[in-house]
Amino acid sequence: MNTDDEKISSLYHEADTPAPPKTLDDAILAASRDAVDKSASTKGPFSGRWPAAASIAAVIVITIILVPILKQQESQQALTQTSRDKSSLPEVPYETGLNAYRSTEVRKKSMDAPSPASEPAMLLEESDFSEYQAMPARSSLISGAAKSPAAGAASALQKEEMHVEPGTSDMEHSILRAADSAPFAILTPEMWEVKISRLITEGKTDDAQAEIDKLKEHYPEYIIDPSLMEKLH
Amino acid sequence: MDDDLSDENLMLSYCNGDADAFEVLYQRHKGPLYRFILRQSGQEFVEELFQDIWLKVINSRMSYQVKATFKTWLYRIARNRVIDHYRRQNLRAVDNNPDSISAISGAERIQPENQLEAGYQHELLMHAIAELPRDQKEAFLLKEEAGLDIEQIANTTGVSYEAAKSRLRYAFKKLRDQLESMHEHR
Repeated sequence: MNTDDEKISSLYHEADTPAPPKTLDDAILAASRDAVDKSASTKGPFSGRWPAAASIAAVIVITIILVPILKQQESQQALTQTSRDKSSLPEVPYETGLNAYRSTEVRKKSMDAPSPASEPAMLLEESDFSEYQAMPARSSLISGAAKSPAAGAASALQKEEMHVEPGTSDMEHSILRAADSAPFAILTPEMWEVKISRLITEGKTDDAQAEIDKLKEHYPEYIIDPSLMEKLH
Repeated sequence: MDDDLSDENLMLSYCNGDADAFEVLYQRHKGPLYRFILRQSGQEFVEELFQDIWLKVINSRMSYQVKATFKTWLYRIARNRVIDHYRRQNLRAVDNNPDSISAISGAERIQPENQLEAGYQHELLMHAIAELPRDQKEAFLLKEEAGLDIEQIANTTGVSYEAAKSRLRYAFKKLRDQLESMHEHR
């Protein structure tokens, strides 16, 4: 910039300097304050920079909570699968199956299942509750009017599903099949009574008495059908 | 409010909800910006444009980032608004036509009856500025009113440094020539 340019600049700045009227100033400043007030009033606890931080925190918390739960579920599922593999039995014709089945080592272990130290009992408590619930439903067909609440609740449904008339041998077969396929070979009291009844019918009173003893041991609170006891004696 | 704070810090404070920061900023820039608009648009539109520009500043506060000086940012908004005004009004820049002096506000017209010696030179200058081509006038006003240097003028107007420098040089030359010519015809 040369001297002439500087003269022009100084001349320009010597001129009067028009400025916005005060009303315009006031309007603009009021608008600026309104904008701040509005944004302040619309700010919630999760506005501004909070959403990102809150999202990250939520993801971390959910991850911390869910990952151990999912891992636990996975391990339980794996354990359940292992127990199923162990407890799966060979398919045999029903007529010969029950006695042979009863004589197997697996069956013996299964009958001792409710012992707290035994593996099936532990598995039952820890993981496969749904399958545990299924067992009384099957057994309830025997007792008709349920002696245990779970068995009673499911009896009607099971009758409909299986289309079996109470008191028939088909029904007994179904119950015994259900007993055989019980996941951990844990018999419900009703199932046990069917077995005992069959043993009595077959004349195996000693075996029947042994089963009654086991039933009493595992279900001390259960009242055995008096007619069954009469038949035995 | 600390008046020594930079424009950028004031704007950031305003972005964070400090309305007083905006007021300081406004007081600093209102005069130059008002005149920047007035010299280009005339009295008829200056208030409307001035208000629009500041409202744009207010509404753009959340997206404001310190990438350039606040002044460059402000005058870029102002320039865009003035250009938009010309487009909407389908107006040619009043400055390109030597006969368009009527577009200049009455207060700024040369009024021979009021030509006192003290203000005469100023009147001549304002007349000469009004007759500058729009680009040159814009460059001149950005320098004299906004206080921008050549590089900032280039950034604000979106042209190269050389182009901005050239516009400014031509603007001063024309103003000199106009003033000399007017003196001769006096």
